[in-house]
Amino acid sequence: MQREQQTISVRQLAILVIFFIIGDMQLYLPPLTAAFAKQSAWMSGLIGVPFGVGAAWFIFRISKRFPGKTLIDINNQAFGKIAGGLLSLVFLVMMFNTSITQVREIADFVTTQMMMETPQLVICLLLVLPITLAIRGGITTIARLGEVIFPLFSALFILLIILLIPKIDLTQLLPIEVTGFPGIVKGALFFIAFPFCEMFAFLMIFDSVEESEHAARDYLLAALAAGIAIWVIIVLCICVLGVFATEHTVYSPYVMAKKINIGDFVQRLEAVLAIDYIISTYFRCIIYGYAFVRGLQQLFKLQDHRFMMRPFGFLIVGYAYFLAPGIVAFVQFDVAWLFWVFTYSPGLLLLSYIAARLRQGWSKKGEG
Amino acid sequence: MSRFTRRVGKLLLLMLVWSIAASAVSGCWNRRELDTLGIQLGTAIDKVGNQYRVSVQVVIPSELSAKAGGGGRSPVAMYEATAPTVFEAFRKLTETSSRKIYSAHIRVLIIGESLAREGIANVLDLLSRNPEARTDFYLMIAHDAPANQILKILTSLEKIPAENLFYALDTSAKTWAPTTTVTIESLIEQLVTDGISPVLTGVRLEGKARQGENISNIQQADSRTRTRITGLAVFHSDKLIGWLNENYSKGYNYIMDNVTSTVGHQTCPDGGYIVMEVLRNKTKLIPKVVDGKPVIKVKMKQVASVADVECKIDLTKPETIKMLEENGKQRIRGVIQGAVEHVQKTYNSDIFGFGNTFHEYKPKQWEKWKDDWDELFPQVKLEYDIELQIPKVGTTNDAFQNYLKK
Repeated sequence: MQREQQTISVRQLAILVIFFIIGDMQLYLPPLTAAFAKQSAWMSGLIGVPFGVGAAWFIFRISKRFPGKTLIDINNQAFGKIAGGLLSLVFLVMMFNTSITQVREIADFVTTQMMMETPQLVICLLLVLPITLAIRGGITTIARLGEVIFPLFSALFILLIILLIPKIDLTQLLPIEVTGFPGIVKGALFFIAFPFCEMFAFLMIFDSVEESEHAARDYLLAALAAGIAIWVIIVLCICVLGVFATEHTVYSPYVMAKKINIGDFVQRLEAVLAIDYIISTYFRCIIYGYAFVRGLQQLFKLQDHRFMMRPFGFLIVGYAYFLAPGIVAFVQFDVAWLFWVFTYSPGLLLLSYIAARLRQGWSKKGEG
Repeated sequence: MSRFTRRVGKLLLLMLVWSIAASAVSGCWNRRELDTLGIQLGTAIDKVGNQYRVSVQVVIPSELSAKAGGGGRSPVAMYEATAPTVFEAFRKLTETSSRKIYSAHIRVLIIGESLAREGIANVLDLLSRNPEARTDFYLMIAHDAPANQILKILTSLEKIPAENLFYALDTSAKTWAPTTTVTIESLIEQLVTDGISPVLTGVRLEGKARQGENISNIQQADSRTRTRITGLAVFHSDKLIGWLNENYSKGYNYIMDNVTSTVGHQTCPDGGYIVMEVLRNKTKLIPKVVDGKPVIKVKMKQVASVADVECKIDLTKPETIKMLEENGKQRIRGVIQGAVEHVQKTYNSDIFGFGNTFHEYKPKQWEKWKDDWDELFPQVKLEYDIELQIPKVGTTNDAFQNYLKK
């Protein structure tokens, strides 16, 4: 099974985009945006969605300019084998790091909210098998898995939102704007960076997508839908819990889900949110993981990627543990991480894009 | 042949993977069986000297089952421990309890009055930080009694005293204006929000405490000792500063839009009372600035029905209903005005959230007033826009008292 022949449909791509964007953000963005924008976090979201979809569009444009090429190829074209290869390596570090960060996030969440006395290591170990199996199967496997799980995921997501409607208190959104504009913009930056700018991992996937006229439309619609979905979670969180609790609860959407109570009968459904969170974060993890492994394979011109899965599995456990000494330090990364993401996308990505375009123009080989 | 063995090998491998996975996902790291847990339904926290005394009420499942039908033993067990911090005290309970106390099903948390006067913030952190406890329990302040005493009073309709307190409060908050429910999230939100101070429901002990602890207390229809939900505790910051009586509590709940249904009376023109049942009530506070002074307009819409006539009045005439509506408005006004003035004069603690209303609707004005709100709050004037409808008079029209034989 040659990896290059693996293809996915546009529909599958759209599903992966939704999983990727919602990812861990449904749990992390509400406290983050509320910390900066307070009760106006919903405005951060409103600013964030169009800019975020714009960022997603930019990443898609790059792949359109270089059809059939991955990020590694583009880097090579831009700066030649050695410099381009080094740049690719820098990108791979980010992909590797973010992939395993997702594992750490799941482990942190489970050991904080549900199984406090369980060692984190055990949770990581449990995740190793599904992650390595999915990546080993390649993008077709990941996409099919997405297609199978997506109905469950979206049904639970919508169920959660519907059940929370009776708990909404719109006055929590008042007063409209008091921390002022800077706070809202800061909140919006997180909203743009984490879900959307990080999508550069898809540059390792776009070349596997089947030709279709609707590719751009479906891709952007998926990004828009996912952006709106996280925005809804932020608004719900503030309306249901209030600003203070949203900001100061580590996993505020989870606590929000605890509030579900319809006639003292439909209640204690917080596990629904936990399941949804773990599903989408798992996809974010394997998409990044796949991008990393595929990048490594291309960069070093390897025949197969499968032999890398065992060491990758070991690294998941080790690196997830190594990532931060504890949750307090881990949360401290957030602001630094924001700039880190912007360095890659649009930063380095734009640099590479412009350089590759210039080269293309000089040599007159590409289809400009 | 080789294909066959490969298949069998694959199958075996698959089974191995499955069994490993099954053993790994079947349970939590540290499973706890139901019979090793003491399920805690009520908690009482007092301060004794410099230490916290935590008392928990644990269910005895065998005493609750319908078949066993009460062997004359108490359906709950109380455990107490005293330690410098609340969580230590919780763990120290295991010194006396045979099972680890499981707090997920807690229904009520009762805080002793003396502890409340010193400040409750430190107690609340544990309950909001600990992921085990759900947050749908109610908080109460023990009025004039140690908190653990309240939990010890055995009750008959609900076998578990904590459940009794929970439902007594839950039901009365829905049908009786002077009581209201407070959960830990809303309490914390009020503690950290500018321009609003919290209140908590009070619970009082009636009768002799010692007697209430005894099973004989529930062997008679009229229990000698009971608990009563009554009055609201007024806080300033996280410290209890005083109590509101029934009427003031009613005014408070009207302003806070906590009233869904209640009952209230009016005096008839010729003496005697006529009683209204409030079916629906909606209150909105509208902040206004009049001559640079804060003014709150209380906009209220109430639908009531005549429930009980204990005087001579002609209910067949539309004018009578008009009059009742007018009188009702005046009464509500009086109740609200009384409560606000009392709180302004006696406690000067913005439990009505007037400041918060300004913050929400007039953020710029609030910025100016924020720092000296303590001086401004007693000057807040009220305006009223009360709408009261009495569309129904119950199943009878004119009262039969009007036709009594002489």
